[in-house]
Amino acid sequence: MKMAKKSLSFSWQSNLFPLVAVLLLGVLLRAVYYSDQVLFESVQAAKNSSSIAQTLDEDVVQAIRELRTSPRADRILLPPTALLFRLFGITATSSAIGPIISSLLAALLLWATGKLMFSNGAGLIGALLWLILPAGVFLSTQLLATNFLVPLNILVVCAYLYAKSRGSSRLYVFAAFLAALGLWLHWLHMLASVVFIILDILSSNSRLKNYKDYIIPSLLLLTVLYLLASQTGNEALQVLYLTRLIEENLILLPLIVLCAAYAASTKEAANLQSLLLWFGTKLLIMVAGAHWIIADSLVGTIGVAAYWLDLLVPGMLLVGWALNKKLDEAQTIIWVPIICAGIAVLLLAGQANWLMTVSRIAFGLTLLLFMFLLAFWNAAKTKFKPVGLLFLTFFVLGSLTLNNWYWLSYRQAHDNTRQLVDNIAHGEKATLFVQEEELMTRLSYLAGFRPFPVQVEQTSLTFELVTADQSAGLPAGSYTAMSAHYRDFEFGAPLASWEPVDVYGTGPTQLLLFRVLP
Amino acid sequence: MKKSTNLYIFIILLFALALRLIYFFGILEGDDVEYVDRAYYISQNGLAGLKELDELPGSNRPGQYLPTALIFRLFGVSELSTALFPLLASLITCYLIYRIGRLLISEEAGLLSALLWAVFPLNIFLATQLDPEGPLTMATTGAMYSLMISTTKKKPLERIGCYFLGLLLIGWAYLIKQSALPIVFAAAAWFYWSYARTAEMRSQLATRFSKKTLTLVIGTGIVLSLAFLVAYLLKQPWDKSINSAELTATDISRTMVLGRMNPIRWEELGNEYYFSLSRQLYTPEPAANTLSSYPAAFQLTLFDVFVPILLLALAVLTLTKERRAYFGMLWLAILFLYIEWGPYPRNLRQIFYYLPVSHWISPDNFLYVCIPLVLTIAAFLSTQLSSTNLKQAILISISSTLVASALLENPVTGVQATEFLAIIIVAIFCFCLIGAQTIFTFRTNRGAHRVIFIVLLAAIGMGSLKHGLHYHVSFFEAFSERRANLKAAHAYLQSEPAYPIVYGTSGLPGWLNIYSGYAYSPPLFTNPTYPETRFTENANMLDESGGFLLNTGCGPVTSLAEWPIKEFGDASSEFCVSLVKKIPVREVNAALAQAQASAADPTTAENILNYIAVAANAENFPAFVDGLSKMAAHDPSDTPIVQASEILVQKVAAGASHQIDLLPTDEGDLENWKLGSLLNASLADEQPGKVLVITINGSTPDLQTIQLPLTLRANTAYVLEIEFTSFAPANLVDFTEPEIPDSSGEIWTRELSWTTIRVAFVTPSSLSSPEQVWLELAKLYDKGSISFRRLILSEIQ
Repeated sequence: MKMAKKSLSFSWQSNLFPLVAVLLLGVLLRAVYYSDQVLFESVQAAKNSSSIAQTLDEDVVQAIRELRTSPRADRILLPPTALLFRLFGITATSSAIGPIISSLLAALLLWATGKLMFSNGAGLIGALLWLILPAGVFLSTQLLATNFLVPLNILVVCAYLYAKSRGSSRLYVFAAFLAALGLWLHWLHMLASVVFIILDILSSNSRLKNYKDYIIPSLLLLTVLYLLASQTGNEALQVLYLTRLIEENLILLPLIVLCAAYAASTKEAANLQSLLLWFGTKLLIMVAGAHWIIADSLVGTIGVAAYWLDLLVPGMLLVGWALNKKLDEAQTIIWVPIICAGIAVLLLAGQANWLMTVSRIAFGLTLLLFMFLLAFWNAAKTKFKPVGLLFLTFFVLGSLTLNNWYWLSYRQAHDNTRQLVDNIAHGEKATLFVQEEELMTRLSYLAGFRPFPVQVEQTSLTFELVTADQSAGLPAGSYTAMSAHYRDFEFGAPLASWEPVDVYGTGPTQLLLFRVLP
Repeated sequence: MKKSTNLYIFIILLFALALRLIYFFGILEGDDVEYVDRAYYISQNGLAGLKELDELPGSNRPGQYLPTALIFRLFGVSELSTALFPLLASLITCYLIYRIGRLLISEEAGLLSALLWAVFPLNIFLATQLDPEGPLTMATTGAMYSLMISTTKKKPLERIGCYFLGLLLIGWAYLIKQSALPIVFAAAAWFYWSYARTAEMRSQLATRFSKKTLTLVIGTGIVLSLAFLVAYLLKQPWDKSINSAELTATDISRTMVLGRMNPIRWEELGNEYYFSLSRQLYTPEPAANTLSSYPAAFQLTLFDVFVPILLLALAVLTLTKERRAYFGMLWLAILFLYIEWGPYPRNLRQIFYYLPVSHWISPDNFLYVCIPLVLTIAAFLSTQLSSTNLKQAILISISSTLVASALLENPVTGVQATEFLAIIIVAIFCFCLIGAQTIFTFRTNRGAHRVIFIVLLAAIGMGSLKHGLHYHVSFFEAFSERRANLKAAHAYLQSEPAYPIVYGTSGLPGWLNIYSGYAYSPPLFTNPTYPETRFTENANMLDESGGFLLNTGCGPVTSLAEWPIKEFGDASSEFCVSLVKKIPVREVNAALAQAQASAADPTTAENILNYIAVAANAENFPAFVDGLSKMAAHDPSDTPIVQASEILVQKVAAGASHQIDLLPTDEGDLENWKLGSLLNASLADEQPGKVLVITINGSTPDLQTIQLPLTLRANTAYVLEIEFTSFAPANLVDFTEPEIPDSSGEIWTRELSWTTIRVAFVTPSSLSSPEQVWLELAKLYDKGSISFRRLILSEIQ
């Protein structure tokens, strides 16, 4: 693909204001739907970062050694988080700031890639879609390697495209270095981008150029053959359905299909081939690698969200390109900030029930509007601008409903733990014995991973992990907590000498607090 | 029509018939029984019967009953004759969709539509069960076809004939099921489409209606709509309406995008029915593990294969301006939007209440919406292949689908075939997500393009077979099990006296009656009574006349009177059927004496089981226990001790027992016990008494057992009451030497709070009395502990 020389130059009126509006909406969504480190993996990452931060005070070399013992993918998030902990202490804000900045950085890079490939408006809409994606909003406050790998992934492609447009060998080397780093950190995440770059280089070769049409079908055929040989068809189907690739992107999927078909049918198809190739390669590698994905520890907690967030990056650019083309650049630059402002006002109006009702209906309407849009595409073309804007508004509104779901369901466990701590922190000192490692890690996080006893308001608090055998000998007056649905053998039955104090929450995340009687 | 096309449509119809017979459904679920009953009643009573039915609630579907009644009259009642009407309807629809495709788009699109309809999963499974949706789809499709060909007729009389036929078919569809009515909007759209779009018609409209008239008509329409809206808002609370709209938004709208239905279950809306106006507002709760849990196990995967292709088809057809496909898309949009958001007044009094159709329908209601869906997909696929290639593709698709279905249904190859079909669905998804590029770039390369689409067509055929949670099919095996059990019960009843059968709430007698070809009674809604028929509502009369009761489930029995004479099917299945026989009181003693004599050695298990049942029927407890102990000696594993356990526990509760405390009072007592080598036992003092704590440290290569000696008498029933907590997984109570059947089963349990269980057992008659046996109180593994606070053995006197 021969690209026109593109520029990343910045104009205050056409770039800054809309981009800032989009980024501010992203920040606002993350603030309104903020949930502390609620996933076990993210609390664990906070613990590891805290440990590195403490070691950093004493011995830098030792801190590096410690970093080398952590899972490779986590090495991208532990140093910045440790540094933040070192500077601001372990708080909810300092834990979330890294992933949130990464998420905003990904949006910025998406904008830059969109601008490089197409135009400012395409990048702008791509960035907007990225920032409002429901699971993206939820996950981007969690300390997960994915949040740091996604911007790296986009950066690799962006650097490659920029190098290509500039013909700069230094930029090529930079892109190659980043790609190598990404492969080293988490090869499955980076593989698609690398394959895309290789294929793009090969298809630019004049001798191989005629064969570029065969790349996607060949990859599809190879994937099918691989699935047949490895007998992993059901796993691949699981990745598509069981782990909600489609369901959670319900409102994005049809739009991607429409835009992909539109992109392929236009005369500008040549300029879009790179993007479609990027998207296709990612999808096929994800499907083919289903059994590795399912085996990944992250899948246990958050499905394959970590993988499909990555997958959707080129999809969003595709939608951004199509909508921008139909709206035209000037319209996009005006309307995107207006929509952002409208949503922001709605969000600030409070998390009232009516907002959820409106967004739920918008969710349904978005799907219907999509059907209309397809069925009457040619008729709607002349009215595309209002229809497109209406669509975009519903799309953004509809995503609020899903955001609410993630936010509430995952926050329950964390809120229960916080309430439990607040309840026991009223005397001079209190000791809480727990038998679950996960609960202990969560409690330690709330205490900022400080050595015990820790001062919480007026109370000197100690949390201690005990085994089931030790549970009979807990000192009188101390507290002990257990979850209603214990998960492993380490958990014992409440003893007769444990007096129930309180119950926090309902369902599987419920916590029970007991006081040990003499 | 060309001869070769005739041949192809014939092959497709044969293929459709083959698939429907391979996946034959029959009378299995629930609604079909009602239809069979009513159709049978009409077949017996003629049109007078139809008039009588008219007065019964829920009997307003004569369009469905009459054709079936006619078939019953001709071929009698059987599962095959019951399925004949929907089967024919499905095949006729297959032909009609071919004709519509040919008329609207092209010959090739017609053939493809017929092929896609032949493999459409929902249609396959509805084609052999007597639900209204298959016939309704036939009638609405026929109506649309009649109206469509009317526009091609030159002679007014022919045209009027087509109109008349079309209206007649719409009327028939309405009489099959009222929810078919939105088809009139699609029909109106057709008239607009075919007439108003022509220049001639436009000029006619312009001359006949002045702008003033049109403004008046439109203005009146707006005023009436507003008046309707006001009346509607006054009649129904806003919050209820908006909540209904909300639920609809999160409900069926995703069907056409995801291919999955029912994300909200009826039960979630509360005890009140979802369509009830007095229901509480419902807001779906956030799920605990939204991201990691299965999307929703109860969701139905209706259109796995078809939805992605539909999306692609819509996109490609509109972008390539394939005008011939536009009406199909319009038809789809109208029906989908109505079924999604349109109101469904259940009667005239509720005309101002907004009840969304989608809230209370099951997925089969989507069948008639799927006709334009299939047409749209066919329009897309037909534009991708030449006529010759398409016919080749059809033959390849048919043969590969038949081979796939044979492999899938074969137990030896089923697992691999399922895996293969999953790959096919994944490939179709991937193709639709990224294949747009392929479609357009390969237009220049006809060879590759041809191969891709021939493979795609074969993939659609095969992928449609994948067993998912298709409509009702998730329960297919369970329903089939119930059918087999009831047929076995019917066979058994042939050799029994013709006592009356009580019909209660289980509904089983209704099924039994139909499976027997109405051998017991006319349809149940006629309130049949003994002695004119074999059914009665009066259970009290059985003391005098004798009789039978049919129950679902074969678990523990709560009283001797409910003890079954025979069970049909797997006892652990919820569809197991138990048959209780009541012997007339005057004959019961003689029957017991006879059964007792038959159960004397040497005998068969059947004779002993009969003895137990007759003893229970006679409410003779000693004889009942005697029967159980005889069975325990004859065949311990088949002794119905689980079924008897509840009766024995009740005896103990009534105080008819001698009790022995088995819990050790000091450490010395434990010396008589046998404990696994890794177990440590101790006695702890806790309120209200001593607690025996047995701990096991570390993981164990072998199971660790806790055994204690018991002295038991032969031919005696016992209940062992155990109060325990168990941190380690434990399997409680087992007698291995000699083998004594007990009611505890092979269940591994772990209880964190004090839990009481009662295990019943009956000693075999072969035991020397009294004899010491070893009771294996529990088996344990892995680390943890088990504690006992109460161990009471009750010997039932």
